[in-house]
Amino acid sequence: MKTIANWVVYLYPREWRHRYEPKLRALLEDVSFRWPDALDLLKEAIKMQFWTGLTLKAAVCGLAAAAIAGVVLWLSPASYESQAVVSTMPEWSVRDRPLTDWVNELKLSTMRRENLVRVMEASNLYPDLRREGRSEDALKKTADAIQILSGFGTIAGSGPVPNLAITSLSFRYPDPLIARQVTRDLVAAFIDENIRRDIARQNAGRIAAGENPQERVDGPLVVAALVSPATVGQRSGPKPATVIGLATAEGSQLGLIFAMIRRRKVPATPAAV
Amino acid sequence: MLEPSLLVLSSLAGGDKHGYAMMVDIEAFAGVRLGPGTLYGAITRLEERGWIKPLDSDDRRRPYRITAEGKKHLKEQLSMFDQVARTGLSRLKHS
Repeated sequence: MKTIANWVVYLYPREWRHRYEPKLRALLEDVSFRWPDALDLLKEAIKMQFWTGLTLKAAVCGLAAAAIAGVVLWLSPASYESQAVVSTMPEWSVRDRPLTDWVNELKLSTMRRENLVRVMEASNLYPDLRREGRSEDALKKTADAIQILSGFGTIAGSGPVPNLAITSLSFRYPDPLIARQVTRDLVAAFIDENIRRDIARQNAGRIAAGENPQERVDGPLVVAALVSPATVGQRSGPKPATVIGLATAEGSQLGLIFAMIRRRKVPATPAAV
Repeated sequence: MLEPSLLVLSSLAGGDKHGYAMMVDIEAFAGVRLGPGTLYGAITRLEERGWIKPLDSDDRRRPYRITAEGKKHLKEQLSMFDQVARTGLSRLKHS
């Protein structure tokens, strides 16, 4: 029976054992040990682990962090991101400027004020701000919610100069369907700008050749094509479950660290041997 | 049943004692046998609150002593119990 009791003592928190184990073992040697005593030791060991051990402090901090994360998530408005992908590829004979410059200029012209105003008004973005007469703020928010990223590559066997650009256009908004509509409008603006720039490029060639400029594309062009249509807005940022999970883990870890620091500050009575 | 902490304080109010001596004493004056886990749980809490303190000893059976704060707390608690007991007994008498 005492062997069981001696094993149960190991279930107590390590810090507690450092201080009390010799005294408790001395007591166990003195008493006439019975079954209820083993249960009593076990019950107290569990209690000690939870109430005086580090486990509870870590669990409480973890739960507190999870609760805070939950409240923050609940209070922060959800944001949905829609994305579309467009490829840009110049026809073989269009080599008068690098594709990287072409696409970078295209991105800038897609973000022209005129385009942004059109997109904002078409989907009635940020109506509250605009009602308050803060259209410039609404325009800035619209621009901030847009992301245009490009990657460049070469089609196999075509040489080292990039001749293919893949551009992702995305928009973030509290309404997933509006996010999709705006992304569609952005894709349209991107493709329109590509055509406009192609016309301008071709007209420059026509003028240089003594011809009259025209309002159409004629001849080799830079092809902008939709690779992947705008998706219905997906909740942007990490998933709530991930945020709460991470907060719980981090909170527990911090709780554990603080509890251990606090314990180190409390001078422990050296165990009597 | 009285709180194990109060039983330990009451036992130490009668003089310094180590764990086993407390168990025997408590069983004698209260008729309650505290298990070794319960006893050391109470000792831990009382020591953390500064109501008892361990005394130096070469033996593993370290005696404990009640502190002034411990005495004050015990007195307050027992006075309250005393008042409750007297009120209860008096009411029983008149019922």
